[in-house]
Formats: sequence, C-alpha cells, structure tokens
Amino acid sequence: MPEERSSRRGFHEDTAAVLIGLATLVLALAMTWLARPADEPASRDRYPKGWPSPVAAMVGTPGAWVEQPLAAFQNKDGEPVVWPTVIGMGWTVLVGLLGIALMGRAGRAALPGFVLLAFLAGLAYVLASQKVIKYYNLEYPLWALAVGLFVGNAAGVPRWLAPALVGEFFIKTGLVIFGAEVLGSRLLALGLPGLMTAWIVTPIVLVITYLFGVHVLRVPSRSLCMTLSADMSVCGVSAAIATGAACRAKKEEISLTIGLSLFFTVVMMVVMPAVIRQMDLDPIIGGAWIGGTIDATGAVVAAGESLGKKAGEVAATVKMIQNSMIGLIAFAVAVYWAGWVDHDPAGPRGTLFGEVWRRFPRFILGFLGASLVCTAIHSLGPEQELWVEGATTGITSKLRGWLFCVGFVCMGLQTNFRELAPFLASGRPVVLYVAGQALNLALTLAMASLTFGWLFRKVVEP
Amino acid sequence: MTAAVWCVLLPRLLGVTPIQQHVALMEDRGVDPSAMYYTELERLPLRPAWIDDVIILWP
Repeated sequence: MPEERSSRRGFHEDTAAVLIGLATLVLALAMTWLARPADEPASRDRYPKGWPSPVAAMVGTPGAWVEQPLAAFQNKDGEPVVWPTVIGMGWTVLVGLLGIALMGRAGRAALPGFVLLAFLAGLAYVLASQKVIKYYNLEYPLWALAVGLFVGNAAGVPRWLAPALVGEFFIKTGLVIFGAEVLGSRLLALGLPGLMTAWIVTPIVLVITYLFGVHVLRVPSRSLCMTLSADMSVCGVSAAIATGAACRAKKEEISLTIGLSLFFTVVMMVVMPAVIRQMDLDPIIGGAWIGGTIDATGAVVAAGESLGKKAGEVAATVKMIQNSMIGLIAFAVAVYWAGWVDHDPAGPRGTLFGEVWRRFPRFILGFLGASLVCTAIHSLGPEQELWVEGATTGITSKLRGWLFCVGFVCMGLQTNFRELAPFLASGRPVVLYVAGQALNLALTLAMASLTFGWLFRKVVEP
Repeated sequence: MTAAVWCVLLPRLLGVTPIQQHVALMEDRGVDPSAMYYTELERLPLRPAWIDDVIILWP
C-alpha cells in the first residue's frame, strides 16, 4: 500500500502543541462550568478540590497495588475500574494523531506506534503504582523512561514505530496544559515569609548551582547544568520538564536529571525528618525547610506529615509556592537561552529582542498564556477558584500526566544506554546535584529560621 | 525478572517494619507521596487556618 502523504504544509511542532493544549484547557473549563453545582458553588468546605465534574471520573490511572498488578484495576469492592485507564491511553493516541495531522504528516502510518506507546505508558503507570514504589515517591516518569530504555535497547525500535516517536511534542503539549495549574495567586499563600523563603533562596540556588556546574565543575553541557539546577532548586521533575524543554536539553540530560532527583528525594524524604527531630527544630521551621528543599511535592508532604500535622501543612504550602514559580523560571530560562546561550557571535546581528524572539521556544508562550489566563480567572473570586481547580485537579492534571508519561516512554525508546554512560562516568552531575542541594539546605534553613522563626513570628504572651 | 521484583520482592519489603510503618502513616494521613505537583495531592495545600495565630503573614 502506498505511504500516505500530506500535500499541505503543517504547523510547527510548538504551534501544534499550543493549539491542542489550549483547546484541551478550554474544553475542560467549559465542561466544568457546565456541570457547576447549584448548591453552594462558592463553598470550599463542600468542594475542597474544586467543582466536581462527571468527566473527571472518566480519565484516570491505575490504582495502588501490592502483589497482584491486576488489583490496580479494581476498586475497594473488587469491581473493575479499567475504563479510566483505557480512556487515558486512548487520549494519548488521539493527541498523537491530532498532532501528526496538524504537523502535516501521515497519520495512518503512526497509529500502530501510538497504540504501542499508550500501552507502554500504561505499563509504566502500573509499575509506578506498586505500593512500595508509590509510597517512596518513585514517580511514573522514572518508569516511563525505564520502560522505553529497556524496550529500545533490548528489542530495538522497529521502523513502524518511528513515525510515532514524537516525544517532545507530547511533552510540550503536556506543558501547555500544565500551565493552567501554575497559578500565580498561590504565591501569596504564606504571605511575606513564604515569598521570602521561596523567592529569595530559589533563584540564588538555581543561578549559583548553574554557574558552579558550568565554570567550576566544567560540565560540558550547559543545558544539563540548567535542568539539574532547576530540578533541585525549584520542584523536582515538573521543573526539570519545563526548564529542560525551555533550554532544549537533550533527552539523555532530562533522563539523568530525573533519575538523580528521584534517588536523592527518597533519601531526603527519610533522612530530613530524622535530622529535624534530632535538631529539635520548631515544626514550622522544619516544615518550611522540608518544603523548600525536598524536590518532589509528594515527598515533601510525606516528610512533613511524618513530623506532624503543622509541619506537614507548612511544608506542603511552601512547596506549592515553589511549584507556582515554574512558569516564570521557565520563561526566564527560555529568554536567557535564546538571547545569550544559543546566540551565535559570528552570525548576522539583529536587535536583542529580535534574536531572542527568533530562537524563543514558542510553546512556552502557550504554557505562560494558560497560566496567566487561569490565574486571572482564579483571582476573580471563590466560585472562580473552585471552577479552575475543578477543571485542573479533576481533568487536566490527569490528561497532562498521560502525555508526560508517553513523552518519557518515547525519550527512553530513543536513548541508547551508551549515550548515558559518559554523563554517569564523570560523576560531575552527581557532584553538581549534591553541591547545589547542600547550598539549598543551608540557605533555606537560614531563611526559614529568619522568617518563620524570628522576623514574622508572633510573640505569644505568657 | 521485573515480575519477580514487583510481585515478590517489593511486596515482601512491605513486611519490613519501617517501610510498613511509613506506608501505614501515609495511608492514615491520606498522603500520596507520588504526587509530582500540588494539584495531584489528596488535599490542596492551602493556607492552614492556624497560621495567622503564629505567623505575621503581611506586616
């Protein structure tokens, strides 16, 4: 059968990602609005995670299981709940086909590949939801990469799969959708002490770690230094994905960053509470310290809760403030990269703005646009808060999770073990991570003690 | 090999006391340590009500 060819020009990958991502957000917001509750629509107590939507239950991921993987597809009553996972897998196939069509490529040839990728992403989620793995924060991107690496290196990538390997497109589309969860209004959740702990320490640690990697350790790749610095100083895997895409990091660099981050996250999740108890630290300061240092949000909550309810709440809120910085940091990294790092000194000179615009990754505009619009809506009032939260926590967070998962499977499939070896052999990325995290720990403890322990602490009358 | 690790070794690790306690504590508190972003948590980490009694948020 002759290969399908498209005779029309297609959109750029970034444009396709933005179109599909924004369309998804508009649909999610519309469906949540249409299903809005008539009863107390502004009640946070009634709707703690935003307005519920019937669509939210339709998409999901495998649940936790202990020794029988099939238990991941059953609810507590033993009834099968496989459809949310199947719909999630189908969603990735749909996005893949739409993206291919928008990019002007043959869709039929890629369909079998998208189906296989969806299955591999489902497998990654099953691996990630085993209880020990889940409760020690070994997140799904790690297993998606591992599944892809294993299949790609053990069996090779067959020719029929190649048209579907659009991992960057999946990641970019996921990031545009993710923008809706990056709400600027969250930055003020803990007032000035929260802003100081997150906004003063994080940029300092990010910049110093990056410069240390480039100029002192002389790690050959600047994009690896930036991705690793952002992952460690901001909020883990989600920051690695956003900044890695913004600075056009190689897939091996993002893979390595995620692996390192998750390893040290598990260590810190276990060790930090013990250290805090040993130091007899105030639980609020301890919680702020955990929130500002442990990479992954889930691990932050786990570590904080093991110290107690107050520490857990402060830790989670500080981490949420850091989470909300991703948009600005990704934008700043994209501008810096386009204007100064990717800049060719021997090439034709234009204005700085022109040079930056020429190289700027366009999907970041979609990501920021989604963030700004949803922040604006979220800021309008309590009903609008619950509307945006219902659409994001209920629908779009799961949809972008599936896209990230399949994106990482693609990355793993396209990565050769040999390409990872040089990064690991030198040991410098590990040194960079440890050095940066040591600085992060010291500065965050100092700032948390200063703000939550002294400057803004209310004196309690005896 | 993968099946052996995931279906045999990891379930046995759940019997190790520190791991068992960690998982039980997380389940009891409704915490999902695998959450990648705050929107994936069981409860949104909004400002705790008691914080205003202890911390001056806006001087």
